Amino acid sequence: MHKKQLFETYIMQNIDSAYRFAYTYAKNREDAEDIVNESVLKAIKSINYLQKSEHIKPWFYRIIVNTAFTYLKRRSKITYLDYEKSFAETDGTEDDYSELTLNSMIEKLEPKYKSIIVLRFLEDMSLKEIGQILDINENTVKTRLYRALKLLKIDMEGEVHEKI
Amino acid sequence: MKRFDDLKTEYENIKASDELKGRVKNTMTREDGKRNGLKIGLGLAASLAITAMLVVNFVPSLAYAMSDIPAFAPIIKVITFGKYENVDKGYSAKVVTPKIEGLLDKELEKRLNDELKENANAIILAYEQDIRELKEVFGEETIHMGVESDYIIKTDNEDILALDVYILNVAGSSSTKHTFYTLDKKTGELLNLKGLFKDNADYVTVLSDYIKTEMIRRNNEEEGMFWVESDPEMYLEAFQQIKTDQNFYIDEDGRIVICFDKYDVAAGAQGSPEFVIPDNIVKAILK
Repeated sequence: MHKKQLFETYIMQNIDSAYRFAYTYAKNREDAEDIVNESVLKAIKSINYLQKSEHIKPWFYRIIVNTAFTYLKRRSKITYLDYEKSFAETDGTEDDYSELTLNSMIEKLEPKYKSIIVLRFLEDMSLKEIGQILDINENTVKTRLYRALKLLKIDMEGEVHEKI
Repeated sequence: MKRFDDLKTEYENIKASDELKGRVKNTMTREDGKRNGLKIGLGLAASLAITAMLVVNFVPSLAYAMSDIPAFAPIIKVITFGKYENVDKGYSAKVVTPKIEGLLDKELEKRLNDELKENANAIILAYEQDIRELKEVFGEETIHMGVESDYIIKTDNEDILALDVYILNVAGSSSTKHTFYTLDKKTGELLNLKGLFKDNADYVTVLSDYIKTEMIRRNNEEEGMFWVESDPEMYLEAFQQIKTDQNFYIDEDGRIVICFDKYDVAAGAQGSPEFVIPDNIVKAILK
């Protein structure tokens, strides 16, 4: 199947995960939707740069990350310390998981650590894929992952450790 | 503290709204529309080019047939053997099957013609399957997808018959894949790139080095968009070297022309790039 169709099929099947990934950066529905839509547009325009179809997920996620940073910078809304506040501004109740202590702790992490935690544990991506998405080498991914877990005070010997 | 698994469940409960789905679909359709407009323009230009090529190529061939050929020698030529056309809402296909005639080596002729026929059938099958798959995913929605396969006679003179059988996939953007058949009319043989050169000649390096220089020149002087440097950011790999059996044909002046498919070595705007290799580059290693 052709790359363009492949992408269109991919996005229709994975729009939820694209949206929730964008949501981790935007933290509100409106921005997350804008980011997804803009990312789709960018992806279609540059679909020919996608060399191998199996790269589609890391490739598209990378576009989301870049778009999210640009978008949020433009709106001067990098408010990762304001987690509770920005959440209170949204109307959605179904998305409200503010009671999750761990989640709010993740939200307080610097973006570079947060991305890795989200990609590794919530998106189940390999260290290699994370490296591709964030444009850093695998060792840096590993270092940041450990550092992030340490910040979260997660027992490295515990269940989380098995997933690394 | 809640465990990651709980957090993951919460995370997975975040769903895209129907509005977003609609918006994204719109974005994709809009992009499709833009590109299809462009494609029609290109398609027309391409078919004009084909017509011109046929005229140019057939005339010398006819003249040749009338004058110089001993009466009984078969004329090596290409004819259109089959044509498949289908239009189904946004989907369309045109598959033209060429047939080579007049080779003394009937086995080779059969092998080539079987291959041409099988390839055409495979394209038609793949097209029909794609339509089925797309209809499953998109239902009655109009998705634009098309395939066109035809042939171009690149060279037809006393020595050479060169045929370019291409398949053009149009689905928003388009990609083209070429297969070249270059026949030596004097010997009736199908030429391969390696066979043009002396046995131990490193033709891959010689040709690749020339092509690299030429790519850089075109990038600088002709707004070329060849990938001469890798860009890991976009998963781009710079052109390294040609394949040992790289696509090629021999042009009217007997020069080797090295061919790449669209997107192989350059941005799509570059089309399917060709590099005419000057005689002095390969003189020393040619057979």
